[in-house]
Amino acid sequence: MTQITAYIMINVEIGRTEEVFRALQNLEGIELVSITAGEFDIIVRISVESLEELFEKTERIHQIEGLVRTLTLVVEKEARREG
Amino acid sequence: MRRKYLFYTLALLSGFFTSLMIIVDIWILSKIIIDLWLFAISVLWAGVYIHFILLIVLSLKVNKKEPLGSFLDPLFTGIFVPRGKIFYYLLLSGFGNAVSSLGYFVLISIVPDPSAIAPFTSLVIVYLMIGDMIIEREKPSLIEVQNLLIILLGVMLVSFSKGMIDPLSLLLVLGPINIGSFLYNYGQRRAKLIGRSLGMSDSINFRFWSLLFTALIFPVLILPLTRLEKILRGLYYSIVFFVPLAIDMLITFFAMVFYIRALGMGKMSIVNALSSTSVIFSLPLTAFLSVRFPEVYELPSFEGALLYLRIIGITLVFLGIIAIALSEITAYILIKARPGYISKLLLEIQKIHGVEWVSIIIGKYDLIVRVKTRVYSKVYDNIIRRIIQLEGIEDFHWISVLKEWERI
Repeated sequence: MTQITAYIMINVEIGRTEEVFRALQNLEGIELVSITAGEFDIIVRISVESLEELFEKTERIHQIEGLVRTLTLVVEKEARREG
Repeated sequence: MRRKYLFYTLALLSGFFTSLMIIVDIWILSKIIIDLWLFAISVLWAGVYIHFILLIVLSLKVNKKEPLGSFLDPLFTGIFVPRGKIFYYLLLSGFGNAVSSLGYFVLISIVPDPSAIAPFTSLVIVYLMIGDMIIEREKPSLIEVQNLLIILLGVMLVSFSKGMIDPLSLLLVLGPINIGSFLYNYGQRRAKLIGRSLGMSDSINFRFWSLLFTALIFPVLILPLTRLEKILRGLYYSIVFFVPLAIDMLITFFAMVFYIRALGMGKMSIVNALSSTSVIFSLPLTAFLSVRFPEVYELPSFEGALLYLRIIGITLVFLGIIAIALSEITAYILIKARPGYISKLLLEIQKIHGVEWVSIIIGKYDLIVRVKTRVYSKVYDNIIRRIIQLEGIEDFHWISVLKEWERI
């Protein structure tokens, strides 16, 4: 079973951050939703089994009202630090 | 939502089992093996046997797939023999554990009140933070000093008994017990870091090997205090009284398993905070036991203001640990790298303290780094300064996390 991890960077309409933040929590496969300050308003970490599933998930995210722009960054390799 | 409750239950249970272990230790020491060194040696060796049996049972594979132990720790793949650096770090761990056990056994023999001893186990977090600061050569910030003091004062209040703090027991706790547990934790963490890539980092094997080293080192430590004959008798007792001793050590094993499972589901600081509050359980339990078996357990004193002091103490410990968790800063750093440097940067960034994970990504940026640090004032010195010194970085963006939701 291959696992694909991706980051989706989201910009939302002013005043709708909290609403989008809540809506994202209900989507399956989403590991982490962070409200951020800087270039993006929300960063989502998502785990899926195929690129097709990633496409479906991003489609679902696009349906959330209040979104302005998204940027999907697919992870190729990852290293974790422990301890 | 149900997983969240499981997380809280596991964290609380791990603390509860720690209190239970102290209760059983004191029971055996006053009813079965009355001599302190005989008890210490025999319980450690009985622990080695029972952990070895557990290790064998947990290595069995069900349906030719995963070994049984992988239910307890997903990293478990079967028994291994530590080599190289892992061996030395587990040896250090075992040494630390032997030192802290020595202090602990002396402590339970002078203060047979589990509710006064259990709180001290939460002090190790103070030492871990101080240890981190020494290793990373960083100055503590005001908030860190504040939280450490809150925990320290809280622990002192909880352990109040008979209106005073016994100076010898306080010395034992601040000295050998916690310095030993710091070394134990440090060794485990280093071994885990190195073992990860070799598939040798599960807590079940780690526990067995460090316990074996503890059981080997401990007799050497106490040799100046006793006779060789007693150590040999302790070994003999570990077989004669195997059943009660093994039950005692099984409790510690489960305390550890619950702790590890909880760690896999949430933040370490929350797990520590929760398990430290379960000290509350040890108070009524000790009170009940001391009424039922007054010859074994000492009645925790609740007279006058003491009960309030202890409750204030428990609250302070909880607050201090939670405050450490809440003052933590999380952020993402997006990095654009010069061509040809990406893989090298992945390895270099991974080594920076505070980095949780690094991912190479396709798209507008080349790397995304997730960092965690205890306070804002350390972001520049600890993380940014180290990243910009690396060769091959073209540009970077810092994105602070303001609020977060995680599926657990």
